[in-house]
Formats: sequence, C-alpha cells, structure tokens
Amino acid sequence: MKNNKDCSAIRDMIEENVLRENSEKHAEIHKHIASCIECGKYMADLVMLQPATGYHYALPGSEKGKFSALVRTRIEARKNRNWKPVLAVRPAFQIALMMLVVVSVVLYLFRSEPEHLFVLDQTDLEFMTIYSPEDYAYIVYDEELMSLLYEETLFEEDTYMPEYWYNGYYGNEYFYGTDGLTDEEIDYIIQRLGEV
Amino acid sequence: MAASHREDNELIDRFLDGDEQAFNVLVRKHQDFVYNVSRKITGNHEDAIESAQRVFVKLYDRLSSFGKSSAFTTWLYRVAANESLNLIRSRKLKRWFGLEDAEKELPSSDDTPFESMLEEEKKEQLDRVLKTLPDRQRTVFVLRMSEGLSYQEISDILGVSTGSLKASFFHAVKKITNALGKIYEEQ
Repeated sequence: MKNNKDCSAIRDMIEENVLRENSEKHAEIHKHIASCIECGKYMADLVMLQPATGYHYALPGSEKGKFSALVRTRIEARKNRNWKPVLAVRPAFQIALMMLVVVSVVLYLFRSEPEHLFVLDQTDLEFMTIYSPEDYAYIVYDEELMSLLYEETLFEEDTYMPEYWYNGYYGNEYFYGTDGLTDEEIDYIIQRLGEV
Repeated sequence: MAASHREDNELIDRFLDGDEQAFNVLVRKHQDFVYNVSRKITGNHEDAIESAQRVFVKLYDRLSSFGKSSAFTTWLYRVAANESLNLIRSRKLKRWFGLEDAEKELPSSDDTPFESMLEEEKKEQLDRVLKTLPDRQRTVFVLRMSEGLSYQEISDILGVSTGSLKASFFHAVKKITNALGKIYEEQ
C-alpha cells in the first residue's frame, strides 16, 4: 500500500509547482510520480486545466462606465427606503418567510437524528472538527478498522469515489452513516475510537 | 502592489472622513476584480453583476470595520466570495419556493471582441462544468486555480479548515477533468 502521507505532501508540492509556478522540489516530485500513477495523473490534470482556468473576466465595456453609478443608486435607495429589514419585510418575501417558518417547524418535528456519522480523515491522522461533536463521532484513518467495515459492507456506496478509499488523497470528505449497523458493531467502533 | 495597498487605505480613510467621492474611486478601481470573482463563482453575467453590486453596497456600510490588518483585496475576496455564495443559495431557495423560474441559462452579454471563438467556447465549457460542482468545491477551485490563492488565504476567506479545502479542491479537479474529458471525447 502506498504511503498516503507521502502522496499528500507531494500533491501539495505539485500544486505549488503548477499553480504558483514555484519550481522547487522538482526532483522530489518526479521521483515520486515515477512510481505513483495517481499523483502523476493528478499533476497531468492540473497542467491540463491550468490554461483553461487562467482567464479573467472583466466588466463588459458597456457596463464599465455605469457600474459605479448603479452602486451609488442602490446605496442612495437603501438610505431612503421606507421599510426596515426584518421588522417590515418586503411583500414579495412575506409568503416565502412564512413558508420557511412552517417548513422549518415541520422538518424540526420530523427530523431524523443519525446516531453517528463517521468522518474518515486520511490526511494527517488528526481528528476533524467539521461538524458538531454532539451529533457525530469521528474516526481517524485506521486500516484494520476500515477493512473490517468494508468487508462487512457497512459503508453504503453513495460516496465520493470509493477507489480513493485506500489510496486516496484527502479522505476527510468520506462520510458514512451508520444506518444498518448493529449495536455490537457501533460499540466496537466506539471502543476503537478510544484506542486511536 | 504595496503602493496599491497604500492607495486603497488612503481612499478608505478619505471615505471614512466623509469624502463620498473616494468611495466611487474605490468602486471603479476594484469593480473588475470583484466582477471576475463573482462571475466565476456564480457562473453567469447577470448574477455576477448583481453580486458585485451587493458587495460594494455592503462595503459602503462596513468599511469602518475593515481593520487594515490584511490587504484590502483579501478582504474584498472574502466579501465577494461569500456574497456570491449567498446569492446562489438565495436563488436555490427561491426556486424551491417557486418564486423564481427553474434554472435557466442566462445569456451572457460579455464583450469579447478580441477573443477567439475557440477560447470563448473553452470558457463556456469550463463554466458549464463548474456549475455542476457543489458550491464549496466550485468556490475553492476558482480561488485556488484561477486566483492562485493559497489554502491558508482561502481558509481565511471561507472560514473552512485547510484540510477540508484540500479535499474539496482535489475532488473538484477530478470532476472537472472527467467532465471535460467526456466533452472532448464527444467532439
């Protein structure tokens, strides 16, 4: 199995090289991609995309002159408006606001709370703090544990590109619910969480 | 660049001292920059114009809170990126409530007399693919790839951890190259 930490560091270097034209560490990159197809492909993708994304949009000539005047008009209109935000909502949004409140209440009443949602982080073996810890538990990258879960097909297949599972780069977007897990399996995961 | 920052700060000081004309100068100086970021994130000209105008209206109210600890353009990136994302979200919400027509291709009125048709077509293809990405992936891709910002700078702008940004960028690159590859194959 490849060392994901190496890939992660190399891809940072590749991005620096391609995107910021910083040509340091060329030799290190080429030595790595000689034996790592994924990183080589990533570099090729970036090189291919770079010219296509290097363009900049500018305001069309017809709008250049009047843009600041339009901004000024909006500022003056805001100063002079006779309704206040929040307290007096514009009529066009009153229905939307009411519907939003109703839908929010309905969604709140019928919300389903996942017991746990695991966030797998292959990047730097650190706990992620993306979501509220009261709703989610976290696992760090753990090959043995992942193998077990994978074999037991406990992970559903909705996810971001499963092929990057083991050889992936930044794994912290792999989210998996625990629907279908038995209590014993959840206990096992939580126990392992305490160990890692 | 340092001179430009100094000029920005002087304009801001003049505006905060009551010189309204200084604000107009600031708008004219940065309107293309804000439009460019908004255009790439929103994916169409009309929304970009709307977003860019909102950015400057917001600036008018909040310039006093600009602490000058970072460059004015970094601050502008933050406001422009967030305003564009807010606009996209409000569009989605309105569509959900049926207050706005389903997503439609808004015609672009860009003037591009000096650009070849081919380049224009590539831009449009990329724009179309970018529109299919989740909002965060698209924003990170634009700020990183097109604007050349570092992950730390993007993290400061969006308030998202650099690890998560790297994941978003990686997935965005994969999706875009796959999608563009398919388009090129079809051609």
